Amino acid sequence: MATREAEPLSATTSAPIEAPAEDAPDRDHPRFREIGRSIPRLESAAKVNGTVEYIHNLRLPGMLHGRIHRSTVPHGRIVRIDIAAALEVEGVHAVITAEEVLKLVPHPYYGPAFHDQPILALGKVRHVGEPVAIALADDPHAAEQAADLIAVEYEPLEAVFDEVAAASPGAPVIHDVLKPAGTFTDLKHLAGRSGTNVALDTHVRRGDVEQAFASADHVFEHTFRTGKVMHATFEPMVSLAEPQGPSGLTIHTASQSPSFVRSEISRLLGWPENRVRVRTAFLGGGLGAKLYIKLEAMVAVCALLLRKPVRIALTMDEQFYTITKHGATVRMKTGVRRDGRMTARTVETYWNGGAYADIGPRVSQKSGFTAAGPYDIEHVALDNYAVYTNEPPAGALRGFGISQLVWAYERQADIIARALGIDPIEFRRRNAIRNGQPFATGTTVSGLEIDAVLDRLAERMAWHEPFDRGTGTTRRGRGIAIGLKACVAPTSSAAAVHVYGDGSCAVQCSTVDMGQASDTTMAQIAAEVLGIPTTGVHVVHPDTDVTPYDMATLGSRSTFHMGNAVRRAAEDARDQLLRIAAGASGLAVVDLECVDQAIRSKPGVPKFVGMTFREAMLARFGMQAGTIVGFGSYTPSYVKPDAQTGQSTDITPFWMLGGAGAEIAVDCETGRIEVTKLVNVADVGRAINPASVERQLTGAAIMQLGFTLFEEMVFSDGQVVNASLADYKIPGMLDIPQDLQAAFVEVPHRDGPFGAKGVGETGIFSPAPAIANALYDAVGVTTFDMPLTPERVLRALREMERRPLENDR
Amino acid sequence: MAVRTSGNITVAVPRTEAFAFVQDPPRLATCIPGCRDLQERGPGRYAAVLTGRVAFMTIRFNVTIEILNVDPPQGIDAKISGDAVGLVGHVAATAAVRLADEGDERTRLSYSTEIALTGKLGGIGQPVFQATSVRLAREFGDNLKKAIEGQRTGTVA
Amino acid sequence: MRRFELNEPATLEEAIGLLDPDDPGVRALAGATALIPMMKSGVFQPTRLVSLRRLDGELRGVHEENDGGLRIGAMTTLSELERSPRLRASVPVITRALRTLSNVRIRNVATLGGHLGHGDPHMDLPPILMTLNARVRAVGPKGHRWIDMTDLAVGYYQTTLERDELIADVHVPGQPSGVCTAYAKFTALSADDWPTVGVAAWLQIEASQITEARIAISAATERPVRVTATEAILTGGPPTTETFATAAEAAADTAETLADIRGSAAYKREMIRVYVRRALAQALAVRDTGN
Repeated sequence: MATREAEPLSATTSAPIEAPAEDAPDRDHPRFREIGRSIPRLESAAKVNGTVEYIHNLRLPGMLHGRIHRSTVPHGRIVRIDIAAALEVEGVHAVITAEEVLKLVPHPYYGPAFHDQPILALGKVRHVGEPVAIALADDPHAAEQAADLIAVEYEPLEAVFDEVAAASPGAPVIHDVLKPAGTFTDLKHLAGRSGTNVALDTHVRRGDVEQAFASADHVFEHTFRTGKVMHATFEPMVSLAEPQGPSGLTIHTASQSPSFVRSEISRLLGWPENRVRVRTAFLGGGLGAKLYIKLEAMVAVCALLLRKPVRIALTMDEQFYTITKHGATVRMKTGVRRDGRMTARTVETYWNGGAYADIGPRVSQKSGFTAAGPYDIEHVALDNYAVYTNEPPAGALRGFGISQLVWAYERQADIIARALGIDPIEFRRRNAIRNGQPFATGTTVSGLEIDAVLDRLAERMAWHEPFDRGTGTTRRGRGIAIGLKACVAPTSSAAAVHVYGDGSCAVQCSTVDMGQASDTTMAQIAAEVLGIPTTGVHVVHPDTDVTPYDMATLGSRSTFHMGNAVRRAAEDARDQLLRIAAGASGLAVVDLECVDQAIRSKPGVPKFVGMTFREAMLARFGMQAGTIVGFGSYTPSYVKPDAQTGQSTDITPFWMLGGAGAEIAVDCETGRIEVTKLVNVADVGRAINPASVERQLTGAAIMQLGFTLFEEMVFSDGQVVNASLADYKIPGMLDIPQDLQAAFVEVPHRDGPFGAKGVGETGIFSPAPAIANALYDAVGVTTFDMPLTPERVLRALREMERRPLENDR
Repeated sequence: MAVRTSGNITVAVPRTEAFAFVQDPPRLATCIPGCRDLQERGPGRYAAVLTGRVAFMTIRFNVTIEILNVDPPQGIDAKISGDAVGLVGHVAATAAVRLADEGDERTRLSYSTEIALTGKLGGIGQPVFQATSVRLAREFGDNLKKAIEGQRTGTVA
Repeated sequence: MRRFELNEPATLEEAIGLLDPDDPGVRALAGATALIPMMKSGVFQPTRLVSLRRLDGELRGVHEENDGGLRIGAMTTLSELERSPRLRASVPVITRALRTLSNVRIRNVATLGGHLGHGDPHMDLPPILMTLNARVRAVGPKGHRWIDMTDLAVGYYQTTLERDELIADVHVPGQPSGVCTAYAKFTALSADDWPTVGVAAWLQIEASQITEARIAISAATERPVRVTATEAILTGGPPTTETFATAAEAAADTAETLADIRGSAAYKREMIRVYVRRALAQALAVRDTGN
């Protein structure tokens, strides 16, 4: 088993970050040429000198700017929309409301799970910030001025904001009837229902929890809460729609899911998919925000109504009203034997999905079934409720519901361990689920390296060495946590590899590079197969007219699914080249290989001087011409879970496991936590590009650091009070722990391309509970809610000392 | 994060007279800082323009004032809501005035308000608004006292 | 953002002439780091902005005065201040504070005049300047006048400056030898956040007795204030942890803190208690290490 140590990062060093040393040749695996190398991103220079393409910079002749007028009430009937003053503004072409939308789209509701979200509010609004009208003008300032002059009269309706309250009988109903989308295989079971705010409830049952609780030596019961936070991508959302002739449409959009945008827009318009073209460029961060439909339907409708290109770009503030992370209330009850073995666990989770479902039902179901954690617990009952509330919609945010659950189960794990006097790492070992054992859903676990992760965590944290907790007003502590995710299934990816007339190669796939270096990864995979350098591969950016279908770039699925598709496509192209060379040389295909940018005979076979790809193309087409197209697609196996018990023998193509260890210093007079050391350990299968993997892990950890210590969307009756980066603070350079480390465990995954698994979210699962566990270790304060702001910590400390801080009047 | 302010004043008039003033919206509205153009829209409903001045910022609201509860001579409850002009913002407030005798010729008026700003204004205006709401409440109290007592001596508030 | 007229005068006189004493829609613009976000959010919608960016010469730089003090031009950027050797030699407490003031991009364009004139209670320099007994020279159509730093801010975003007055420079008097000064601030959210509380301490200690004490707090209240109750307890007392603790208690008791995202009013009072103590201890440590 190969393990790789990544260099610890120090925030104070000004030297460039050194990529980890290349792997020494491994006895068990052949040496790779491109795989496993920390090749710098293909687009590095272009990004630094500002020549890279972002949709944000795109300008089209005759383009109109759209600005959205948003609801100021959380729940209300629209009585009247007055656009007269807005139309008076110089440069304004039109003001679009649902009335105009209906002319083009008779049923203007979209969404990946339910068709519940209207392109513009129809009849009523369900959250503060909901788009009600769009002002279109020659310049963005005129559009903004006009949008501000639109006057809307609402008849307020009773609103509900808390996820548990909204799921209870008697709560105001936000959607009268729900219409399932039926777009994705894994959500096909959603039923239309009415009279409730619970969009979806899913259940997992194994064994008999009640009996097990009754016979347990200890029962622990807690409620954990996490609030809403926002992605805050560097590049806010932007989409630009452009009519193409009388019957076509192109949408340029910063989206992680171009294939979905095409199918959803064509469905809304009632057009065949081949009349809608969607293209993306690099994204200035995605993080889950830029998925499914965000601005695309609005710009499409506006462009077609006005027969002009229409651009809408959100400000950072507007994104707080567009999509957030799910807040969640997790009620966890665990039965434990006196030797520390957990025997039963019930987890009841209420997911605050906001006013529109977006991908919430998948979050609650697909992450929900891991709610018991990476543990071997015989009796399990998991209930997950995706709930509507009158807050802005919640959807995918890096982690996809996992970090809310890990917060709960890893906090409780430490509480249990402390109560029973068991070392926290030992407690995890005693209960860990291992390869060959059945997960709570019945699937036999494989490709999960929990012991290696725990070993690496213990080592990096010097866990078995004494730790000085200090005696003054600054106390120190350390804590660990491990979290698990099941990659979403079933999903498909397809890719093509082209060899051009001169032998140069290109990869065409719809995976979106949003800063996770996917272009480089796919290029490395193709290059490895074709025997060419990574830098020689051109990666064509997603364009639904050109690049084949991909489910979406989300959930850490691309390296695995698209990586496999690209590998197959490259193999197909390679085989075609080999056949040409076989024909030319008289050798059999099996005696030839692609190596060093040419086709040669394998060692030990009659010598063939070889031919370059260019020469092969020449041989095939008679001149520098033609294209060889290799195609590959990948869809993993999957067994749908039982509707009552959630049991399935094949619930995920791969498991992700992330461990975190934190050392903190807490100022007992202010409650401020400083994370002095943060270790991230991931089970990655194989690191295709170790430097990229390291950055994914530490980047995710830094993001979670913000959520843990200070990020929080604060609401007052549905209004976001801190919808601005002036008040909603995200981590900066000075917040990064002095000692920030990433380490990977590499046990090649049986099904991943060259053994690789996804890793984009792994670093985000565990830092929060690791830090909270460290806080307990330092000062004995038990926490249940995030974030751990200084005030919350100080109040908890003072409660414990029995001299509580007073409350404001 | 609705902002709550409260205060009280004592006026040298009997309660019934103080109540008569308070339950007459056109007269009461003159005491609200920045309130003008009061127009009756229906029984117990009025429209007005509220101009809020904070430092170098001026924000105008078109509001509807609704008298919710009249309980002579104890108190009055009102609801004020409306949208900001020229930027996306909404104000939703409740106000309550309670009167108590302080001897035969004096009345103690206690007022409390709860004001919530939403929209863009609600996002960034909170701390500034909070800081000025105390001042505005005091101004309201001063205006009210002057108006009720001034009325008695025949001077117009 | 609404359309507005932009003037770019070349001299201070011209700039003052363009300001309007009665119209809040006309305002001066220096680095723009505070006003532009307010304009983008629509809370401030000027009709005319008078940009000061062309004003130079005597309005920039750190100059030594005959009386041993410093005259700092209002158009000096915070980065220039941070790098000024004269400033570091005379009042190193300001140099140290500038290193963690917001971030380097802001400091590169924000000016001292804007920093003081905007009247935002979160700013780091006002409490420090208040303890140094600094004065601001305001210039208007009728000439110039001096405003003590303690009198400059009167409320949230409100200063005693008339609408047609501009800060021309800031005078920091020469500090008596042996004075120890410190600025301590607490950020509750990210490290580069606005402070939840900032405390400037200035102590003159002779023969183990505090002969004069100046303490100013900012960020937690509507405007930066000198805490006279605390100063009274310190003056004449010994520079001990007990004295500091009592003094800090007085500061917390008298402060009218504002609750917001960064903390409740009660929490901010507690932070005042903690940070007045820390600022005083820091000032003492500065004296002891000469650093």
